[in-house]
Amino acid sequence: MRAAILLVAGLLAPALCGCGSVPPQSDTDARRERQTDLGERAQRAIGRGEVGRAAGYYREALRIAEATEDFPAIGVYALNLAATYQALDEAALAQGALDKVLAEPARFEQPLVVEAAGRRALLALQARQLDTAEEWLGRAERDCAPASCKAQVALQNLRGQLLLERGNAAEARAVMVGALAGARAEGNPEEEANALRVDGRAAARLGEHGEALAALNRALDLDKRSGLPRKIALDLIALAEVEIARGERAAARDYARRALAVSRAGGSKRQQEEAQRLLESIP
Amino acid sequence: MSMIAEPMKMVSEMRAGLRDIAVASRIFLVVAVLALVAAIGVLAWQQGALTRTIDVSFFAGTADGMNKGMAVKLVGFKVGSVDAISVTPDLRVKVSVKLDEKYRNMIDGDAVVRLAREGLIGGNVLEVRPGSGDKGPIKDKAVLRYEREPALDAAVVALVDQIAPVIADVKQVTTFLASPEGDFRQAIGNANRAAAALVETRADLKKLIASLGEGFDRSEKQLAAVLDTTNGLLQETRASVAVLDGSLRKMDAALPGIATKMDQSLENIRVASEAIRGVATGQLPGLVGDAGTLVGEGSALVSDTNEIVRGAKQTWPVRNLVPPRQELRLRLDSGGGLSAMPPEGKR
Repeated sequence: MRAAILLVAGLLAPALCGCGSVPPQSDTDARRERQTDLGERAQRAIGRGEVGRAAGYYREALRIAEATEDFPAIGVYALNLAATYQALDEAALAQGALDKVLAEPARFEQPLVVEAAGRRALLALQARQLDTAEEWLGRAERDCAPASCKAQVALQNLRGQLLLERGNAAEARAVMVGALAGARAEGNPEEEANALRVDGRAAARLGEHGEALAALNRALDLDKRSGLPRKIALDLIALAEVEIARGERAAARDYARRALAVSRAGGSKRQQEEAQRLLESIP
Repeated sequence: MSMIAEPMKMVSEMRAGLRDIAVASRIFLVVAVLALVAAIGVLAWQQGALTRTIDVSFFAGTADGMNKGMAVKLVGFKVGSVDAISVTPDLRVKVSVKLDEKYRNMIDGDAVVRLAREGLIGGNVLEVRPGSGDKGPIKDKAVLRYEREPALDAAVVALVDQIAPVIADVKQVTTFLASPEGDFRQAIGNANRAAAALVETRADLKKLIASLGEGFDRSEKQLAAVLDTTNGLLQETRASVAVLDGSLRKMDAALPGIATKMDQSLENIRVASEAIRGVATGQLPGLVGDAGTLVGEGSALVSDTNEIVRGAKQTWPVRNLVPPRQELRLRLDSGGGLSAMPPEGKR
């Protein structure tokens, strides 16, 4: 019996020591850990609304990934960096980051390339370069295989925005039916709000102001729940435009003022200018 | 018979079992006592109870920042601790220190004790500066010299004081060189003008030599006129050379001054940059060690903490509870918003 106890203890002790020991960390592991750590810090910075700081972290993470030709990480951080630059209204820098993926798409996974092309289309849309947006969106849609592509709803929403910008409001609303259903099926409130916004704006263009206000208010509600200032400002601007179209100047002015306040607090210069222009245009 | 033998066998087996348990408990008890004694021994050794020490002391103006038990360090190693702090009748503070005897040969009789801070947010420590070595190793009951580290603000002021004259010198030199009324700019202007005049004169002389060749073929009268012109030109050249010479002399006179000023400025810049480098690397003795070491120590602290957390995360059973780290992606948001993509399998 004693022998058995000693045997068990003798076997258990090294086993426990083995479990408790920490494997040595190689340089590659350390670099990758630093890279991931920077990515996590950037996420936290975005959560606090410090987008500029997040861009700095992503830049450093991308630099580390580039130094070791870690292509999966290069793809992720280039896209993340482009997103933060876009949020900072630095379109040229965002484009530069996206080019790291789009210039050599064969090196990256297909979903990353699709997202890069989609974001490039969004940049072009924001700059009102509709033909360029069409080209990139077409490329993204072509490469987005339904089973693995997670960006399908976002691409549908982009298609709706493009149609709206080209003046095809009815067609945009038709596309938004599918986008809304897709977003709800995915449980994606951000894209649901985007679809509602596009739908609301399209409805307003068609003179269906009641539907437009309902859709935009639902979008505003969702965006407020997600806590995304940039998109809250977009909703408020769209609501102000609908109220202008309805001839409700006081309500329009109120929405425009709120949009200005939100964009000021959110730090988006482009949206501030847009809200200011809108406010000044209300007689 | 077998009916009696069976219970007897059971009793004897039980007795044997109890004996085994008693032996096992005794072994366990002995091991536990040995482990306890060893732990106490290790603790005592770590606390320095078994270390041979020497007693030294020093006198300070104030006991601020010092307390009983605080560490005494030599080049970053703990070599002793403060044993007692007391006030003398003449209102000086006597600090008694116990030093580990094994460091005795590394600390000289004329060593200096200094109150320093371990980084800006660290605690105070007493730092021993070994001394020149002329007085031999430190002796028991020796009295050491004490100095207090200058405060950080004083160090910064000292640094600013060093940099300010450099900036003034550079500004002065630049003003001197740039001033249109200054000797240097005027001398350069004169030299330029004289050089231009020489170029013109050279062109005229070339023409003259050509016409001289022709002149020999023509009349003597014409030759005399040409010689007159040559004489005039030579006089002009002489005047130009005189101006150039004057300008060069002025420059020559001004240059040593400029060079001296430049030399001084460069030396000042060198000293200042050395000081800044010292601050940055924490190698500047007695000046701003705190500021210099802050970054390094902070970074080391963060690195150590990271290492500990990493180690803990990789240790069983914690490693099974912590999800593996992965690159986090921001979602393509068609509204331009920033939101993270949920990890694989969550949506």
